[in-house]
Amino acid sequence: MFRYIGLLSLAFTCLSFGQDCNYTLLGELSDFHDGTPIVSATIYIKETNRYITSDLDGKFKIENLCKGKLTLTISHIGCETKTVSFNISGDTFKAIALEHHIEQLNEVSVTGSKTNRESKTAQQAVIKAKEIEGFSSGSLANITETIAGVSALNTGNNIVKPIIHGLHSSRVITMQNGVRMQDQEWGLEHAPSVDVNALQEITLVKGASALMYSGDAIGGAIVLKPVKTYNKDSLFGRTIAVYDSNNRGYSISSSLFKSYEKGWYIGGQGSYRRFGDSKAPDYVLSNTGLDFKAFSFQTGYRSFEESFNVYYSYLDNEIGILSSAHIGGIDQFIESIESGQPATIRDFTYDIRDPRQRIRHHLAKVEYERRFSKLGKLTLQYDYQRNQRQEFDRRRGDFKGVPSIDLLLQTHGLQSRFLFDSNERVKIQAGLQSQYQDNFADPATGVFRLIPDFERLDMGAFILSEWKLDNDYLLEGAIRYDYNHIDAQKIYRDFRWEERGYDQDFADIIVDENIAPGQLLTNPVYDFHNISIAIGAKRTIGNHEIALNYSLSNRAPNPSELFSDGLHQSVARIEVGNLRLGKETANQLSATYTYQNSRINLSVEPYINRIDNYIFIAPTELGIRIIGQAGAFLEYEFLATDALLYGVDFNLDYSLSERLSFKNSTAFIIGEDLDNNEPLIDMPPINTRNTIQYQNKKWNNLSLGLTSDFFAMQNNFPNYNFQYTVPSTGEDVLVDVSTPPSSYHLLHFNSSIETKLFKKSTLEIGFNIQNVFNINYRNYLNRLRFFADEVGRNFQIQLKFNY
Amino acid sequence: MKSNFLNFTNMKTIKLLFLPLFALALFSSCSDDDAPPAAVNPGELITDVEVVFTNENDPNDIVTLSAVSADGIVDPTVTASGPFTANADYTATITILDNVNNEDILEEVVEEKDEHFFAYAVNSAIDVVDMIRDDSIDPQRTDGNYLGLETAWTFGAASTGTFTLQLVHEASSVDDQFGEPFEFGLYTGGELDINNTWNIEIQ
Repeated sequence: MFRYIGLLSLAFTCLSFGQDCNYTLLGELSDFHDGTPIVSATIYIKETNRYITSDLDGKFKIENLCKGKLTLTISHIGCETKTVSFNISGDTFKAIALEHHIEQLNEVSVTGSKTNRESKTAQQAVIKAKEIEGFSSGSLANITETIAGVSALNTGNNIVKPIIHGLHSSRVITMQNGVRMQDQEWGLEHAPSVDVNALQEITLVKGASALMYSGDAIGGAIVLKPVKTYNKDSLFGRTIAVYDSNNRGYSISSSLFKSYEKGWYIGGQGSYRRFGDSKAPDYVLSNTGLDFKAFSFQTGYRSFEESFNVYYSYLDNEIGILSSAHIGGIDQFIESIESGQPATIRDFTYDIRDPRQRIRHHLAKVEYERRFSKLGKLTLQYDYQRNQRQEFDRRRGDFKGVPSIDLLLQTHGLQSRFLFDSNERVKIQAGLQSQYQDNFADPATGVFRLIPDFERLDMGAFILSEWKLDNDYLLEGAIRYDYNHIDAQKIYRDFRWEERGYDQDFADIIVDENIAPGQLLTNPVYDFHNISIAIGAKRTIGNHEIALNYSLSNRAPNPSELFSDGLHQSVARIEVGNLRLGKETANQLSATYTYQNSRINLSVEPYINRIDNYIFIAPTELGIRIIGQAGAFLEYEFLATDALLYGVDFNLDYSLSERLSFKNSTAFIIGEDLDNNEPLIDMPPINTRNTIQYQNKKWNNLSLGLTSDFFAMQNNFPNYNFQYTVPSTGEDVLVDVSTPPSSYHLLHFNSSIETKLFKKSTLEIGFNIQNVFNINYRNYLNRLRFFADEVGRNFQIQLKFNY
Repeated sequence: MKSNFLNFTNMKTIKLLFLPLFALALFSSCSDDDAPPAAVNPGELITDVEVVFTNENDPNDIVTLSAVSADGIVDPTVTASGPFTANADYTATITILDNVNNEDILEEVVEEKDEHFFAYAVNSAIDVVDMIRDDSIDPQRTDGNYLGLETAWTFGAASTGTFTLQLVHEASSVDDQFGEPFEFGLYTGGELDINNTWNIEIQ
């Protein structure tokens, strides 16, 4: 304010001294992005307290100016108001660029279901903060499971990972705040190292836009966005506390953010969760507790032209593995199947004992963005991740408390990209990514390394483009090149080396024939060059929308698929990698039909995916291997086949009235092993979910809902059953490792109510029941389904405090 | 699109786009595969298991059931040194060795007896008249159950059949009376560290 008074007085000084006041300023206003003239902008001249407007060419003229300072405030609908000042010492021409994309800096209220789509022609889904909050004590895959076509792969109840259209692990990538998560996602029992409470938005991205993240996300990319602040002075936060009756678990999560109008922001979030043993309807699921700690911190600055972001997150997760799953071999496995209930049932406890997993994940990122007038935006990013995974088994003697698996995976990533968005109709984004990764398997475990030491180098380059033909047509296309280099140092035991025939085919990779008695050191090196392509088109006809998408993607086999070798005690099976595996090539075609009006939102999404060289893990021909004195264990190996996956997702949102709504999502998928002419293993069964929801804004935003969730029995499964003679009894037994469990139907209830506490704070109280009827069931996609039933009824109380 | 593409100041910044390429070169030069990984010295191995039966009336009548896995990982070779004498009483004891690391595993088992338990089984074809845990010398667990390291057996008429020895670790419960009137033993949960079956003969 004082400055303005100063300016004004300066202006008066000019006038009063009657100096040269015959200068002219010619101004030209244009859009920062595309240089188009800004018409009818209001220009306020501080010194003379006058208003003028720009003409059709964005030009304006101010005459009879005096020598000295001139201050103009320019405003226009949809633009950021801009104040500029000049020193006038003669006739002057000034070009002034205005920013009309202020929605990127300021909060824009979005109502209804219209969301900013990342991918315009391929199937995708967005989950918003409100919905994420409902899963405050759950995991990422519990949330994504609500999307039609996305299921969950469980190892017990605390290790859950997403399956998209039958594809999981390395085929689904997780992007955490722009960083591709490197948390040993290859393993079936490795869940994403993510705290859902740090997320504001979860987007499932497929098609062209997914190629921006990677070329090998055959299943799709799950893009996670942390809480975003806006350029205004504010201090806000949220605390959610949850109590679950089933595992007597409590969770608390709190966040606090401070933002400034000038663009600076700082904030953080922390969560703590402690669960005891879960309960199936008939018994305690012993040793299924959880001890979860996580926090994240971010700070940065954001203006229209420049921004930077520093982000750090840490997660420390200790997960108990069902005691009964830690068995000594096939004899006990058979007993477990026959008895139909877990061998070990102890009283409830919060204690977590072996077998258990402990995962610590650090993620740090620095990002810088800069806008160029009439051109676009440059983004540079460096990130570092450190993932330590320890798996503890029940061990003996000196090895008590020593992990059986101890892997340290460190990843450095650097990426740059440029978004050319100056043209309203054509947007182009191009980028480069490079990544260096180092895995260290600690030999102090006293157990043969399941995953060897390796180094990995990746390089990727992409161009994606979006072309709006007119209001009804949209085209999308992307191409990407990836180079992967894997350099491993793998120690083989002689018997394995010979049994797999590697002595014939891989003699040249031997470094040391006898690094230890019966062991040889090899140096397998792999190079992969992959091209990925995605093209898509969308047509809008009134309320109808039809989109088609084709994509070609390639995925190099991961270290687990190539090199795994050892006993996974916590699931009682041996897993053997395969050096002969090549890359997977997926050709995917999908279509989306959407109909939307004020009451109905309907979408049907059929797809077909042909994957050559599809890598999967299945029991070996013998099914078992004897390990020393302990007897026979189940043995699984990685194999490749040509696969065909096809299915359809269906979604319906129907507002029956202002307060009552109905929702259905149904997914159906078939997976075929074309080489062996049989179904693929571990394909999600048909699932249909119906929700009826009542909401009344007048009654403290009361919300009541019932969800029915039906899972059919998976009838399409390959038969890997085998005969086994139990040595102690001489009995011949058919070991059924294939037959999926029966169908089941679950009912869930949810309710919540909101009250205003203070001027700016609200308190929301939620009460939910999961598995209302306490149904006994087993889930085909749970690796521990052979040992115990799933979790029974759970009452949940949730308190959410927004401030 | 106006041609601001070649604007010099922009060009300078846009060069930053290629930073990842340089980083790649840097990454690849940094990586070293000089140091070979240390071979894992496998722990908790069991290479040799023996059940040694001594005839109570004839110290020279010894039957040894042995299972030997050279490295503790390969399928063990299972042998019985000879037939049992019909209608004779034997005392049996067990040895468990890790010959790779030269460790007596049995010591560990006895030290951690509360976490361990031996269970026996014979099939119906073999004529076993009596089997008890010798509570005068057999280690007793805190829960009252006898470990099953020291046992006494009475064999009956000539027959052939199978004999199974199991060592269970961290069973959730054990019962040394199982098999009444015998004391073969039963466990639930836990995992088997030893699970071997021998073909035996009574002559």
